[in-house]
Amino acid sequence: MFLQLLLNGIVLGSGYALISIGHTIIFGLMRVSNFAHGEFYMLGAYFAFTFLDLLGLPFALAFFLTIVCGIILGYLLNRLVFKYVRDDMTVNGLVTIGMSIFFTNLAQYIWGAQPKNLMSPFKSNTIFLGRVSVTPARLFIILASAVSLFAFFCIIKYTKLGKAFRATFQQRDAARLVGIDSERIYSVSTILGTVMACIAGALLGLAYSLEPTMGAKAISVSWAVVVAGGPGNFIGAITIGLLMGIIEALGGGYISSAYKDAFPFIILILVLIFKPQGIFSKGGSRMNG
Amino acid sequence: MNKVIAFLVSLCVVLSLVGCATAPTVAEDTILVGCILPLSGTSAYDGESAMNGAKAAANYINENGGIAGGKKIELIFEDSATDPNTAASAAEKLISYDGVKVLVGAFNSSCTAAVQPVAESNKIPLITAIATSGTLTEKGYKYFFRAVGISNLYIDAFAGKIIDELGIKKIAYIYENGDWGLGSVNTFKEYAELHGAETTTVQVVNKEDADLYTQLTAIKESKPDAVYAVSNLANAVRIAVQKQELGIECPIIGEGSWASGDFLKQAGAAAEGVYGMVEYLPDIKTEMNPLFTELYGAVTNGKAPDKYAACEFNAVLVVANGIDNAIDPDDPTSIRDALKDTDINMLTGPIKFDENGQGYGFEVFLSQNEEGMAVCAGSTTVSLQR
Repeated sequence: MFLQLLLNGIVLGSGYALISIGHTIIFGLMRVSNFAHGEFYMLGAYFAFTFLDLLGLPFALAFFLTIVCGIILGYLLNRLVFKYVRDDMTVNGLVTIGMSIFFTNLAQYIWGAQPKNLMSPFKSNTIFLGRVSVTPARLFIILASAVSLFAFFCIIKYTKLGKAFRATFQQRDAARLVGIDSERIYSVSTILGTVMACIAGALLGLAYSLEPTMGAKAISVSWAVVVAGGPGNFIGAITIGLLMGIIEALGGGYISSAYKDAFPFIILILVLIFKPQGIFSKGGSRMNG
Repeated sequence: MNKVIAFLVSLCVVLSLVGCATAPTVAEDTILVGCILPLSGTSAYDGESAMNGAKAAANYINENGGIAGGKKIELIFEDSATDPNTAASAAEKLISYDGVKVLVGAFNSSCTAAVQPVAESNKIPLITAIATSGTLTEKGYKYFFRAVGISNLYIDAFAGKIIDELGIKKIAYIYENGDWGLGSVNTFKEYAELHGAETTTVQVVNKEDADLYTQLTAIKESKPDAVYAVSNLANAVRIAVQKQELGIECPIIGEGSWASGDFLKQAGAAAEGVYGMVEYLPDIKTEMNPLFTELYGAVTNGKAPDKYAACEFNAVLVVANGIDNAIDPDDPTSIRDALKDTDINMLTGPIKFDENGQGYGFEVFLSQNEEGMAVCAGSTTVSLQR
């Protein structure tokens, strides 16, 4: 039972990490308390559904187009909304709560309230490894999450764009002085955050059913992960994401499934009491992940 | 330019405020019935079926001479957003702004419980045909009626029979968190223990849980002969599919959406063999079923009806009959008095109400899914004796 629960937890946790990494960019770095992040995850899943099921495209192409949609969405989001509300967390919090309600209802209007399943390119035959069972789709989620997160890291660490990105969030004014276009960086980071959420939606949609309200749970866990991991801390988001998935699975399995959703928040409370700046943050500086 | 925009915005605000002050004009020959349903939120999909069921009933009544001497019944739908607070405000709005005489709703047991005191204090009859939590009829409300069986009554009718026939010795439970699921599981457990089936584990699913591997792993480890599951559509699909993925082979006995067309379609092979205790099945042989199927098809462009549609259809039939028999069809209390003496034939058979407003006398059905179809595997009449 332990191994099965652990594996379940890793699948859950990979999803949490993917959702949270985008959230930690937008909240931790850009200082936009984005309550609509769960809805971008939901939209990602529905974009994939549109390309895969409604238009019948092959999975790789559908996945690629979902990323393209995420880029467009992120660009528009920064251009039309975040640009104006970036500096005041109360205002952007309220605006994004409104957006969250809007997108949930928009999705219900466009795709309907009926739960949907993504047409999975994987055969649904379960693989049994001893007493542990896993579906190919779930293995793919773990792998693809790891690859996406790795690709994200490479962009941040090794590209010129990534350097400009880090510079802006460490010292905005100094970055401006050396000629970094900070508006462009804000645009890029919103896009990165949105794309990661859309990827999460498209991947997790392979194992879970899609509903317009699916963003609600995602955002609550994502807040816990981002705050516990240290806002703006990528390693923190990934580690805490995985940890919360595993703790949710083990706690739910061994203690009580009625309190399954509470276990991740117990970690959050502990972190807030003992290390309020986040487990992985050193002092108050950003971008040290 | 900015001033023009400012002017237009303030104009809109002023006009919308003015709009609030004027009550809607009601045609002389219509009677308004308010329907509170979850048209958004987690129960939105099932809420839509219910709405279409209600529309089918209203169309049927209006095309057959109307009620109370030729008046038309007009339904006003309000969204509960699957949220008790919103449901209560919707009821306030329907009563004080629209001036409805009767309320139908509010689908979820929790929402219905929130609407009950609003209806009671305004002396407006409230009829539900979907909310099945037992406590709703135990609060002594004088304006509340339930035209559907409660979990206990179904379980009374079927539990012992299923356990004996399947030879179940060990049984696991999984339910959607809430009054309904918990109540249903506890009642079933009583019967199961009485018939010699011991409990292996009880697992809970939250409405927004997408991944149920944790709960199902615990069920798998407990090696039951059967799983009793209480859930609406989305989680029913997840339970069935993920249970199959984990290789748990014992049958599911379900209360909730285990026989609906959408469940069968979405769960696919995982739906096979699942038993359900349901209010309605498309293939039942009641007198009104062919007519209902046709009426519902006309509203939905040929969709097959599900239990939510059937239940809400029943509710509107009962309401219409109450208004029709009321001494003064414009007086809610008079309608309430007429509802107490209800004795009509609904889609699922005859109905009467007891002193708490609980309906009885109609049929409930046991279904089993075979080759993508929910087939009627038995039926029994809801009675009030245990």
